Amino acid sequence: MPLAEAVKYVAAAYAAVLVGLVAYLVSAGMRIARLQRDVRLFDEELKRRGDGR
Amino acid sequence: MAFRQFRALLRKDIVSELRTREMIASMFLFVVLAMIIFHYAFTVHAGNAGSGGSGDLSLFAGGMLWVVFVFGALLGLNRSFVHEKDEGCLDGLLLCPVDRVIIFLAKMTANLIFLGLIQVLAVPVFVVIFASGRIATHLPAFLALIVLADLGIAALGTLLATISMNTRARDLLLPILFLPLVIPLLIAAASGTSTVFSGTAGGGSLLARLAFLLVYDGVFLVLAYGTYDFAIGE
Amino acid sequence: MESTSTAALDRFDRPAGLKLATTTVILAAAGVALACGLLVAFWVAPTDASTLGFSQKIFYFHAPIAETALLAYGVAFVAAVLYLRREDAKYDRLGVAAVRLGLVFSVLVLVTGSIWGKAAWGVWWAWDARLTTFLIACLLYAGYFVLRGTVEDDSRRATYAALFAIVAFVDVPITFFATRLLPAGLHPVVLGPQGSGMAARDLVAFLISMAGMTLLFVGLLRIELGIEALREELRDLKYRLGS
Repeated sequence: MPLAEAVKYVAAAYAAVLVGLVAYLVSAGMRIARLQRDVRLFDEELKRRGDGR
Repeated sequence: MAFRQFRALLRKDIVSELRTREMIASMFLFVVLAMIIFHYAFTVHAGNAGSGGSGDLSLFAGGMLWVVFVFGALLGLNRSFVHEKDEGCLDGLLLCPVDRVIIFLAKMTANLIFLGLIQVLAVPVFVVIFASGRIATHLPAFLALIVLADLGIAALGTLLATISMNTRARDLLLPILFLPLVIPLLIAAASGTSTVFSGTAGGGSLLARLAFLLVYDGVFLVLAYGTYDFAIGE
Repeated sequence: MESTSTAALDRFDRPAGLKLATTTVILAAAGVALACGLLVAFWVAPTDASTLGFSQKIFYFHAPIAETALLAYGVAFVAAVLYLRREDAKYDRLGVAAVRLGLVFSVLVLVTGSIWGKAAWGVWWAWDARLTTFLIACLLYAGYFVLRGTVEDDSRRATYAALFAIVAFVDVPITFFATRLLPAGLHPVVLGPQGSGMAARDLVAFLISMAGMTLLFVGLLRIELGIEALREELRDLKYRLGS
């Protein structure tokens, strides 16, 4: 295989790893943000009810 | 003591199956139907048209045989715990002073017997249809192959059926858990059966497959033995 | 003895004080190591002399990712055994986190392996023993998450997940040997540079990448554990709101 063509495949492979990792990190960040928001909401709700009683 | 419990549990399964015969009957019908479907699915190739649609499938016979049995076994495995769970028999069983492992062994043996029964009926038919009866050269090895593969299917299948019956998805879950784990067994059994059907390759490669199946069975029997307490629940 | 051997594992569940800072440091170290590995791989290590040629450079990430995926499944296996022994929910959290990362890394193995296969063998997919093993592992551990989704009760879900993680981990080498039972197939017998032995400079690049990948796994595992802890907290809050 000529070098110019091999370079394309190597670049594609490393790009795929990068894209995969970034996609994973974005999904992890979104999961964290959602969970933190939910925890905060539930926490506030719990406190509000505690005051009401 | 343990053996008497085992015998009693096994008898319960066999008697209750013989009362309706629904599992054996449906498994057998499934196997026959699958053979017919395979025949028509694979002989549509243009190259076979000249021979009146009765192309030679002996190259694929080993693979087809085990695909049929793996899926047929799946059908039976899905049923094997349904009655126990739905009729509350399992709760009764768990209250009995019986070792969980004995419950597993009895269930596994029952599944093994049902699968074997189907094969006694189906394998000769299969050999006649797809392999033109060429198995005489390696008959003992072929029988050993079937027994070892069945043991692996029954051991792994019973363990996973126990898990999946306790979940919400039940019969939907079992194939997803069972099929990827059974691929190694399928590779060994199918390629071994192909050597038997072609009658050409030496006994050496067949022996390697038998040894592999032996190891596979051993590993999953030990795993099931060690984990069945957790699988069946309290 | 048991307490010392699992001490490192037990420490992962500390309260979330120092955690984020440490995780950042670990991830930064991973980034540095991976960058160094690439530098050595591209500028120092010689271009492969065999038929692989330049496409062999894919190896320096591909193989470490593959080994990290196996490491992740191994961690899930150990966590599963510990869970069944001690019934502590933190081992269940460790198990899920490890399996999820194992899946991510396995998918990356398949993608990079497929690209390398196209470059080296001319086909996107060959039923090579290692690639096939990873494909089946992916399907197995995807089933792990399906299984988790179908059990309501927390402790029962954890028990079944642990059971399945044990069975699946044992199955991975069995699958590898099963695919070896078959004749090698049509593609050339170039399975990677390991067969011919690695030159010293290749080995250095590989080892640095391997260390970087392992660090990356540790850092990401800590993030996943944080997510699982948040999830636990949320469940707890929901329970308290409901009662």
